[in-house]
Amino acid sequence: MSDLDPVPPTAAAEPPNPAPADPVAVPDKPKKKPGVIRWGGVITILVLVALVVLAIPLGLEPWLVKKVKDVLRSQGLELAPQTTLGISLFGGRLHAEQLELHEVGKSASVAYAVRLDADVAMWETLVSGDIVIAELTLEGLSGNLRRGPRGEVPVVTPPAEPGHDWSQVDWMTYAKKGLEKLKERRDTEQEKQADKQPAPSATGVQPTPGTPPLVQDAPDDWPKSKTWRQAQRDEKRWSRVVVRHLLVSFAKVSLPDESPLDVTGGKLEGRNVALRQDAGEGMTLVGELTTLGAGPLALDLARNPDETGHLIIKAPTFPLALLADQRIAGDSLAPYGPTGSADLVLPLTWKDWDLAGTMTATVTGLKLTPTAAAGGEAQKVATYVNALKGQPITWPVTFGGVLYAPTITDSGVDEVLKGGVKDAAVNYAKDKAGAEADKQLKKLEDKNPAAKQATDGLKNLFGK
Amino acid sequence: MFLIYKLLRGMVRAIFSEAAPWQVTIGAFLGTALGFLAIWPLAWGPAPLGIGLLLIALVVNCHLGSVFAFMLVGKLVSLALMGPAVALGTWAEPLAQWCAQQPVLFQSRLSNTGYLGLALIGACLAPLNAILMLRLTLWVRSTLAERIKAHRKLMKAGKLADKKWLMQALCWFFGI
Repeated sequence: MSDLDPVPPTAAAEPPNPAPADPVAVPDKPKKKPGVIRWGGVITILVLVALVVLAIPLGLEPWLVKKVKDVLRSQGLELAPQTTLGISLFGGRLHAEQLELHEVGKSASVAYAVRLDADVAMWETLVSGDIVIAELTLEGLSGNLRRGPRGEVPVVTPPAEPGHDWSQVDWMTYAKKGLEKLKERRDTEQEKQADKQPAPSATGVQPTPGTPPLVQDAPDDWPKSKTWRQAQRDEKRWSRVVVRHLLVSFAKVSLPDESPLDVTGGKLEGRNVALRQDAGEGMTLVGELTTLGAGPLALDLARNPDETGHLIIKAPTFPLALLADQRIAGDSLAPYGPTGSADLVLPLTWKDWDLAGTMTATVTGLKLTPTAAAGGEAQKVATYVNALKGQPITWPVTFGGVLYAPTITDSGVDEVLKGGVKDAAVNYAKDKAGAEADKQLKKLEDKNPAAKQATDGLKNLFGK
Repeated sequence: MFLIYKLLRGMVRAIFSEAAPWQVTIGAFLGTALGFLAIWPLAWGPAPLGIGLLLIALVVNCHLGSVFAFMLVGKLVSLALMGPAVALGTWAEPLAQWCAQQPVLFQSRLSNTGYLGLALIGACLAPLNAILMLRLTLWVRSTLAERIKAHRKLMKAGKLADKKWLMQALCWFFGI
């Protein structure tokens, strides 16, 4: 009988009966000790996880694919029907085959990749608040930015009123203006942020070397408190995309106007590739490209979070005519009309947006064809240079300007005239004299075999 | 008022429940800690530390009633202690800066001086509450509950008719 069972009042009135306990009565079972693990809870969690795992491929992944298509459409792009796109949220993978993009309502392909593989670093994405792609591989990438029938550049030019002739617009100038606007917007944003957040405190724990410095914000949900965060780690989540390892193999990239710089192949490898860099996160891009008419190009870019960096371009057979383009060299080279090939190394460095660098180029086959309006000085230079008949000349060219619009600040023509041409002339004369001497020695050897032994000894001695 | 009544009843019932004292103790500990930790701030999203602790509370065989009761009490108290929490968090600012460099702690909002202050208060109160609940449970079960039960027995037997309704209400409230 338990304590809670009702007791009849009559029984309570009677005196207690000291009768012996029933010998067959079963004693109460001892209470089972509770275990440490709540198996019901474990099962509930496992069931919930299983449901989520099931829901991902059935509901979430198709929804995400649709979202990707919607985002592309909002940018005026759509996927071609043959593109297969798959997102595996559980594994954090995005996979696409025959990935082809074209502008909405148009059939011409803007970009095409044989295969795209993106491996999202799920844990880092969850804890860092950035979209972190551990590895992004684009295989056989082709890009087509050739002008359309109205001269419009795909993706780049905004929709204009009918009849607008975009062919009159120089895409390079247009791109420069676009980048200038981007810089202005970025500067304004940085100023706003600097006004918003107080300066980092000098007190407290200093970040460990190699980690970003700390800054503080006043959060919106608790204005009286302050939040410490690593510099550039935005309070807004997943607003930054960073690719830890980027691998791109190019098939072809056509620029808006047919140019020797159209890419015909190559590959690019990058680390920590992002538009917005986190402090302590160095971005690198290394690649080799083959071009339609500018020969192979080797690129080596390093970008630091403190708005500094370098870009080294190596081009062993770069056409000088391209370098003399008025949009790059202004009026400093164009009047000379240089043609020829340059083995150039262009190391550019920048701080904030200001660019600096001096290119060292060994020019072979240099020929100057100045325009009639170029003036007497140019004609004089051309006479000197053309007389060398394409002998190698060392030509230093100094670059400057801003990051988005590099310009030649010193064409180096003076240096060429002072040193390069002189050296070339001397080498030319030496080579000519050497050839003449060889000819004379040959004649002598033919006449007198004993002289041959002496000349061989001399050749061995001097290595020539 | 109804909420406070429910909380109080939940706590008392935890003491009088069939749960072992250690279950109530761990429930009080986890509940208090959860009450002072951010779990899912709306403007921020999931906080891994809070969610992890909640999952532990579900998996470990503690008294869930205590967990939720103390969690609710903790949330209410933390609302009242927002000012002191900021002051405490500001005092412990080097810790907030260190938390800013640890991804899990940063996501759990412990780099915020307010949330850090609350977490510190919670860290102090959680073991205190746990010990208090353990001692209270042991005392109540060994002394008070026995007395009430005996009183009730006598009452049922008709020996005590005085204030019967009060005894019945007490037993109902305590869940005896």
